[in-house]
Amino acid sequence: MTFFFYLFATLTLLMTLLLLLSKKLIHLAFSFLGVLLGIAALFVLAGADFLAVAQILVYAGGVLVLIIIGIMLTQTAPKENGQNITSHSNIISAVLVLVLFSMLVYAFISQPFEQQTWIQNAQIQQKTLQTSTLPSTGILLMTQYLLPFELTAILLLVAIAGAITLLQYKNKSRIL
Amino acid sequence: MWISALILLPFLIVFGLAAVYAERKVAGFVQDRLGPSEVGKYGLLQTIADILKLIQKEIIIPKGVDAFLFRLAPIIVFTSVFAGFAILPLSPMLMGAGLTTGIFYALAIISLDIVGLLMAGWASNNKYSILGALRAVAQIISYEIPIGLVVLSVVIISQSLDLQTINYQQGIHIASLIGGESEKNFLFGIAATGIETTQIGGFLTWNVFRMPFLWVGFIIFFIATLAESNRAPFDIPEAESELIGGFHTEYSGMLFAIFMLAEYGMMLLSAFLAAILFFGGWNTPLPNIGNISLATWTSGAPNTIYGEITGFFWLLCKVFLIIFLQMWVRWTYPRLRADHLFYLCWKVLVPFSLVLILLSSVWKLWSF
Repeated sequence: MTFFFYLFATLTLLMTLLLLLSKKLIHLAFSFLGVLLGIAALFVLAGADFLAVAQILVYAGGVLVLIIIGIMLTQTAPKENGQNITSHSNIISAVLVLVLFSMLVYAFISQPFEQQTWIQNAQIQQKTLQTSTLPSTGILLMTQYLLPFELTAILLLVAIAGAITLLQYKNKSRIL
Repeated sequence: MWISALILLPFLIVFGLAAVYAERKVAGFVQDRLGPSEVGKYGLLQTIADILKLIQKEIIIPKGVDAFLFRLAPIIVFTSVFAGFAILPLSPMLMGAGLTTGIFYALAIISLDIVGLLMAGWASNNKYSILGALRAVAQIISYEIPIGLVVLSVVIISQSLDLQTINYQQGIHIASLIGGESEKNFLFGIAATGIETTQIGGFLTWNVFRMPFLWVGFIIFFIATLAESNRAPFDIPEAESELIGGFHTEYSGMLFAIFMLAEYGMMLLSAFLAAILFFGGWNTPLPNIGNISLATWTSGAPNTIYGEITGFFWLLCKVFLIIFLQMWVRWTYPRLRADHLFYLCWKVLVPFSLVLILLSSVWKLWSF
């Protein structure tokens, strides 16, 4: 278990490094696939099986494909030497990233994880790691979190309707 | 668990060889000709000769391609399809991972093969390849929606995502399932008919008979999985006559063979899923009729050797029947035009499967 955790954690970190260092935009997108799969594996090891599968379905199968198609349709071939991705001049963004990172690290350190009841419960009852989270997720979504769940559905419906309307006004000719 | 993995890969490769031969013979019968007949008796050794030729061929990597992604793409496509096999229960005991998320995991992991197709199309640095890859992505993402909705309606009926549980529910061995001791099957899933079919078994307890509208569901699932595996009449991503093979235009030798193997693997996987979700999985089609207890005779109890053999036999029979259907359709219908393809998905299959979900929910509530 610990071995697999370190294996997948190393894989995820390596893929992230590859993502940050790759010169070509398309390599970046494909190493993102490795990152997503590694995180999904870590979710499985943490006992969150439903979350892991949802991660693969939504991010690796959906969002990533969207990103890749976006890159394919926008990038022009001569710019592929990578000038526009690894520019070192942008100090403002570096400062912003550093501030955000230190905030996250501070929040993580200052959090008393040892005293959280749900973590203590999980440490005592190792069995919760073995059982699937699927039934309890379903029941919670349909009872306690029904309103947010339905609101998300409405949000998605609005997004779809918006996308269709945009497409109809801007583009009357058929593609594909 | 490990046995299943050891069985499935050789099985898939042998199936690939046999299926190409069967495909060409079926094509021959449909088009009123003989098909392969020179190599070996009835041309039986034709595909073995073909694969030997493919192994010997040089793998040509053209000059302008992105060599790393070019080599990686077929591996990703095949791995993601093969990972879907991990959850298949082949018989009562012989199964891979008994995941609670079962079919959901399969749908998720299969959707990864789009990334491989995009990678192949992009890395080939070729207009035909990139067009084929974009078409493949548009088609596969669209057709995943009806598949997901139909699977959801089956899940509503069986109240489980675990394929082994779904198998047990559709036969006379339902009592062997942990937690299924008190479950009962009724004719068409309606308790009000008063005809209990739990011990009659056979085809009467299959999902398509527990909820008869699932016949429509099967047809939707069948059409959508044809599109998912890029087979005619939904082969516009490959379209030999306009795109010269689409995303695998530049591939040769074994790399091309891996793409083909992934396609046949996808056929096999979708046939397995269709057999398990709709047609009782490893349960026998013969019912118990009074004293003539055909179902008990033709399917042994779980955990016995006879039960394993019969389970495996019935599942494979159903799977090969569905694969024959897929081949029959391929050689009967012409290729769909791109806009017809999306019309079929978004305006026909999706509305029908949405109605099907509503019907299954009502059916499940009604049968209590």
